This record gives sequence, C-alpha cells and structure tokens, in this order.
Amino acid sequence: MMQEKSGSKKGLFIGLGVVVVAAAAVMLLHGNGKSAQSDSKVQTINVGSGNDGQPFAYLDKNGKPAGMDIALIQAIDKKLPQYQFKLTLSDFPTLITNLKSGKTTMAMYQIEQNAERKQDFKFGSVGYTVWDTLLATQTATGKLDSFADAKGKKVYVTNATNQATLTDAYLKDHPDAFSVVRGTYTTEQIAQGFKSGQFNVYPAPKYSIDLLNRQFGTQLIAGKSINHSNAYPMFNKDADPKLIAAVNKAMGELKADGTLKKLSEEWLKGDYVPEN
Amino acid sequence: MTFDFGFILQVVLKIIPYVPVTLYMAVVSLIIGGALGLLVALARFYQVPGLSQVMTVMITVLKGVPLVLVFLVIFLITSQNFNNVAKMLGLHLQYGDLPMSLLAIIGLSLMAMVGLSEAFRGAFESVKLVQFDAARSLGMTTGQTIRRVLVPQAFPVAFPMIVNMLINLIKGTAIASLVSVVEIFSAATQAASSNYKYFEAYIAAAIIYWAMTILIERGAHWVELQLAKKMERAIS
Repeated sequence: MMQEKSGSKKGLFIGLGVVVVAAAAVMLLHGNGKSAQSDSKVQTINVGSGNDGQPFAYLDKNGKPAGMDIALIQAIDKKLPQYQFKLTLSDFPTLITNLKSGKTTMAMYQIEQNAERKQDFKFGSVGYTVWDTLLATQTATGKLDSFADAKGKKVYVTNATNQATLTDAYLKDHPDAFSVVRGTYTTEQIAQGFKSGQFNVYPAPKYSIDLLNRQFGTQLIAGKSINHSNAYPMFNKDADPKLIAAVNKAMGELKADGTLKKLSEEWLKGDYVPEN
Repeated sequence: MTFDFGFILQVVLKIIPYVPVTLYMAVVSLIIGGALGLLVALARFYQVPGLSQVMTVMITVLKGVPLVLVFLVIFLITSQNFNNVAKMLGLHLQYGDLPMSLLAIIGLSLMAMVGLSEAFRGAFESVKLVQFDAARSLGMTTGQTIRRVLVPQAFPVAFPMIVNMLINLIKGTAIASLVSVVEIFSAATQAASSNYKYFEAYIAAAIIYWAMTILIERGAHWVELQLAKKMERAIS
C-alpha cells in the first residue's frame, strides 16, 4: 500500500514538473515572439485566400499555394517590409467567416465590392482584375448588350455569384423577361449546357468566357458589359487603416510598373487588369 | 464577430418555399429506390443465377462512388445524348425542356437503391427459415411466400433503416444544385452571396433541415409503435 501511495505521489510530481516546464516554455516563447516583434517592428498579418480556385488561389501538385491572388499577395508582401503576410487558405465561405471573426485581417480571392459588403468589411482602393459582367452567347443567338436583349431566352447563372445577384435584381423589375437555370456548374457543364441547348445566355466576366472558349472551343461571343466591377482586397472592419493604406500604395506601384499585368498574363492567360 | 439574427430569420423565410421541392425529390427517390432496392435484394436473397451476380457487382460499384460523382456523370451523359435520343424517337424535346429535378431524382434513387437493398437483405435474413418451410408445406409459390411471409415480416425490421434513408436523401438533395436544381441549401447560399453572411445563412438552412428531420423522426416513431402492436398481435 505504502509503495503504491509513494508511486502515485511520484507521478503527481512528474506531472506537475511537466506542467511547470511547459508553462515556462510557453511564456518564454511568447516573450520571445513579442520582443522580436518590437525589435524589428515587423507585424504579422494573416491573409486569407482560396485553396481550390484555380487559377486564382489553389494548391499545386506539390501542395504549395499558387495562383494569381497568391502571387499578388506575395508581391505586395515583398513591397512592405514592415509587415509579414501569413497565408490562411480555405474555401470561400470559411474565408469570409475567418475575415469577419478577425482570424484573418485581409482577404484576396477575386472579391468584388458592393454596398452590402461595405457595411461589414473594408476594401482596398486598387482593383486588380476586371469582373465586368457580359452576356455570353453562341453566334446563332447573336450578340446581347443588355438583359433587355435576352428577352425570352434561357439564362444560366451560377449560384451565389455577383451575376446571380444582378440577374435577380433585373428579374425583380421584369419578372417574365427570361427563364433562368440556376446551378453550381463546372466549366465543362456550362460548355455542355450551351451545346445541348439547356440555356443560351450566360452572364459572366470576360475571363470566364475566354476560358470556356479556350478550353472547350465554345466560340461564345459577348456584347457590351452590363455592369462594372473589379476585384479588390477586402479587410476586416477593424483592420488598421495604416495597413490598408500601405497595401493600396503597394498595389498602385505594382500596377504602374506592369507587374500586375505580367501576373495576369501569367496566371489568367490575358490582360485583365482594370484601367482605373 | 457580429452575428445577424434578423438575417437568419430572413433567410429562413426565403428558403421555406424550397421545402416542397426538397421533400419531393427525397420522397420520390425513396419510392423508386425502395422498389429497385427490393428487387435487387430479392434477386440476391434467392440467388437468381446471373442476375444475383450482376446486382452484386452493380451495388459494389455504386456504393464505392460519392454522390457528387454520380450526379456529375448523370448530367454529362444525359446532356450529351438527350437531344440525339429525343430526335431518334421523334420527340420534339430539347435538353433544356427537361425538369432538372429529374436528374437529381435519378441520382438519389440510385443512392437509395444501394442503401435499401442492403437494408432489405439484412431484414430478409432476419426471417426464420422455419417460416419458409411452413410456407412451402402450405403449398405457397415463391411469389406468395414473398408477398405473404417474407415482406410482411421483413418490413418492420427494415423500417428504421428506410426512415434513416429518407433523412439521408433529404440531406443528399443539398448537392442537387450541381444539376441546377434550386433547393434549400443553394437558396440559402444565394441569399448570402451579396452580403457574405454565410454563417447566418448556413444556420438558417440547418434550422430547416433540423425541423424536417425532427418531424420525420416523430412520425416514424409513431409508425414504429403501430407496427410493433401489429407484430405483437401476430405473435400472440
């Protein structure tokens, strides 16, 4: 009995010892982190982006982050010695939740701005990809310059996109203008939908239309843009205005020196940098 | 992190109209899948030569692929061939005229068939061999044995699994947007797409799914009690 008791006491001491050492280590490391931060004044910023959105932000075959948005985040980071960006990659809704909760401070994943989003987030001022919406059609259908031109046609929109919101807004005022197919189609499904006549109009940015034509030979055409929109970096509402200003400045420089155009051509196979 | 309760309510109201289409897809798939599953289970239970082996292979293949893949394959096959087949049959139909919920029902029925055929097979095994001997001694044909002995005794055993499958099918409809059906889940994400309040929208969708599941479970519990009463009477 005595032996057992002393054995359990010994265990208790070892346990306590481990806890003390662990606590000391944590405090020491924590202190170290702080002192390193205050020494060199490098602030770590958690930046969110996607993990399966090729070619914008995804993991390449070696599991490394790659894509237009990732490359741009890295280029901005390089220009800002006072900050160190740390990537947090996830699917889109998680990206938004992380940014809202403050787990990340900044997000770049081809995000467009609107009045509703501005209530909950801050945005950078330099747009980096054109997301003007055009109406893609086959030559047989003809070029469409507005939703009014799409009267009586069948329109496909991808759920939870800006294009779906635009389409809904138009249908609210013109309920019977055209019929709508709603889905979360892959690019191949969209090409197939056109070929099979499931729909004949696809509101989409120029980039997506070019991609369809390039990958699936759909030969889609498009008229004038029906709305104007760009992708911007998005920030947590409590993000430091100094950080936002620094990112804006860096992005302005990257745009002026042609880096942005180069990245767009490299990743998106075309110049989709907005003019202003 | 701010949390918008008002928006949850807004989304709940917005997605309630999609409850019928979700239930419609799930229930129809349960009926079709149940009928097919029964046939598969019978073929395997009675070891019908040829058919039994084919069914075993088919179930193994279907069991091994995720529902998402089944949906995409169905979409690609039908969208590539429907127009030609319709033309051959002299039908004036285009792919776009098809209600897309039909594709979702095909996919979900396959899922139900796989799950239920196994449930039925298990339930069949639970019927005692003596019962078959008794049926044979009464001069019942195989068809009569199935109708009067096997199914009535296996059904109460399989019932909880059938209900479970209905619940799984309801949850399975959440990916029907892959074949362009707007249902509860896609309506909820759409509601959040302009203001990015995904978290709230997901909670709203969860509330609706919970409500449906709870109602189904309550109903099933009641049916189970009735079945148990009936069984008791049969035994005593």
